[in-house]
Amino acid sequence: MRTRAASLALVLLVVAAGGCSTYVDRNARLRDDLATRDYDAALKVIDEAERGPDRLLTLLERGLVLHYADRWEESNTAFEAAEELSAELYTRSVSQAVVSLVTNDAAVDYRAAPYEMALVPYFRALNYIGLNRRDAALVEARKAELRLRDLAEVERALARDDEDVQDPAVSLDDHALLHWFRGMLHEWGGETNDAFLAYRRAALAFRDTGPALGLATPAALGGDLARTAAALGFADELAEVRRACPALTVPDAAPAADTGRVVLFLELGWAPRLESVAADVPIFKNEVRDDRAVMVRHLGTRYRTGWRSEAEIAYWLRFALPEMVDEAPRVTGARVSAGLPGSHARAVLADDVAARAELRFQENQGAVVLRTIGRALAKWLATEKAEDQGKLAGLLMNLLGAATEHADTRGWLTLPHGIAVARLELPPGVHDLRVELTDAADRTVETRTIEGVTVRPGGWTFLSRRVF
Amino acid sequence: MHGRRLMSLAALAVLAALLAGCSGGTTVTRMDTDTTVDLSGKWNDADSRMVAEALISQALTAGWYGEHRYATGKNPVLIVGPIRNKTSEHIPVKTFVADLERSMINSGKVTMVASAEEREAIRGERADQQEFASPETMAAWGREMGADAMLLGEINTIIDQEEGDEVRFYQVDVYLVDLETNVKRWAGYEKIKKYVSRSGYRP
Repeated sequence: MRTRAASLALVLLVVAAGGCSTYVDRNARLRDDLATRDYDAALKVIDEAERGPDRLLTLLERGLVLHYADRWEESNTAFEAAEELSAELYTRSVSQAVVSLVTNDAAVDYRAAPYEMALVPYFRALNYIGLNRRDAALVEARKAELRLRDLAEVERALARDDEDVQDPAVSLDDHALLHWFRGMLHEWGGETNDAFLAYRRAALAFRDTGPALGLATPAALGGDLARTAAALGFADELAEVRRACPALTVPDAAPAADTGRVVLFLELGWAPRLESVAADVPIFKNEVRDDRAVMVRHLGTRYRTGWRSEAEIAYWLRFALPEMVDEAPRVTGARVSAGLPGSHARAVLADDVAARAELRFQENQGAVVLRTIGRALAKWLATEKAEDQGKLAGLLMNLLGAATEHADTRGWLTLPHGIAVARLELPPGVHDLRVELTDAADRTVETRTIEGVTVRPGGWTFLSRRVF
Repeated sequence: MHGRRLMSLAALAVLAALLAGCSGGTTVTRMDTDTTVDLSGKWNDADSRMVAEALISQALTAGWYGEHRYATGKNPVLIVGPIRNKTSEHIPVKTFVADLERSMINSGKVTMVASAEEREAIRGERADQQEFASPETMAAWGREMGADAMLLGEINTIIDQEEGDEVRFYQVDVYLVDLETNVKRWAGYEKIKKYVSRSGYRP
């Protein structure tokens, strides 16, 4: 009786899991709709998606699509819900782990990679700028500092709690773009001291993470430090930052006091996506199976380094692993000009989201491989045991194993590959900006015009554009 | 036997998987608006109300009030100006301003005048009356009451965190500035300190 009930439950699960496609499959149209600026269609894709364990991703995708649709208030509502859910998921006891043991990693709630959550304050601040709510944008600037600290701690905890997860090569505490953006927002809000401190953090972060992420210290950051240091009488502090960060270029002369600063954020291409790839590793006939944990480690090593054994193969253990697919963006930078003498700038890469994703993927891959092999092994052993009880039980267990084996390919699909920043000092008035989008070889691939950019004396104008 | 246990485990996992997709449901319980409920440790309606009441109580028992009454024989006329949120959370400042105004009005010790934003709407209505209201009911121009002083302030916060534990410290500083002389007639502050304990990160 008990066996029949269990079999029925298994059939149910097989049926349920059989319909499970990957997150990328389910949202295949999302990127196309966003690239063609068909925001309603993109939102429809998101709204039609299954919530379940992808609730957080749905909120993040929704927040970003609404941001690009200039529906800033709604975007912030979605992002705020995402931040709250993320905090809840990271502190809640994850009882779903037992489910993932017999199904797959995608069966548990997606908690978002820390580098993904780090960008939420960036987009929320831009939303508040769009809403002309400077005080709220400043709240995001302050919040970003705390969030980066929290997320860096989460990353450290992930590595501390799982010996197979590597320590982060780049700490989110050192998120150069966010510190730089914080500095600009503080300066815009008249908080010069906070601005200087944020600029200094940014300079140190570019120095410390630049080599790993392929980022150079932007020239404009030197000007920001010099300007705020001059306003505060921080000559010694500025000299100290210059000593600590030799790549920092500090201009000899400050720009005219009545110019205004224009900041153009260019969000480039698509972040890498994950795909599910089939893999297998042999189990030898003479293999000792007493200690499953030891066996999983042996199989993990066999998968990573290959094997040279004359032993007879008893079984090919098949499983699915995530593989990162990174497509270089068509646009990698820009030349920006207002058509006036000296009013041109280069957009330089200030955050490489793809490089962060790749680092995180590599750091976690060891743990993912072992967890996946452990699950495949458990399913195989269960199948063997079930076969002892009869063909039907064995078949059901085998079906269960096959139908539930998917790699966890979830990730924030609409995120950009990287973010470049162009900074201009312009005289007060209304300007049209000519933006020549360039590829990796610095060839112009497209030219756009941003019309009617208002510049106020001593003021800040923030603009952002997504380019594909 | 071992096989049966495995099958039972699998059945349990199935049940967990199915339940994971259909747990939840919303429960709504109405409650007294004066009840203090701290859920996240963030600034909430109770903080707003209690800080406003404490600050206004301080303000109306301070020396400047008696001096004003003695000098003019009248209640001071006040206006609430900008209260800046300098914290790392989105505090609904308008609610806090409303709490300050309500505490002052209900004290009966001061006269409050409308804020700049409210005045625009009132002047629009008054302009409308000039055209459409009967002469005997029409509000006259030039009879607005000017404020003696403006209440300004800011909300700051310090957050100290260690793993799941957090201390949130809020300080609300307000100043009463004489509108004619720019002299700060009174300065007050109110502090809130909250200890928030959360279960830490769970792998």
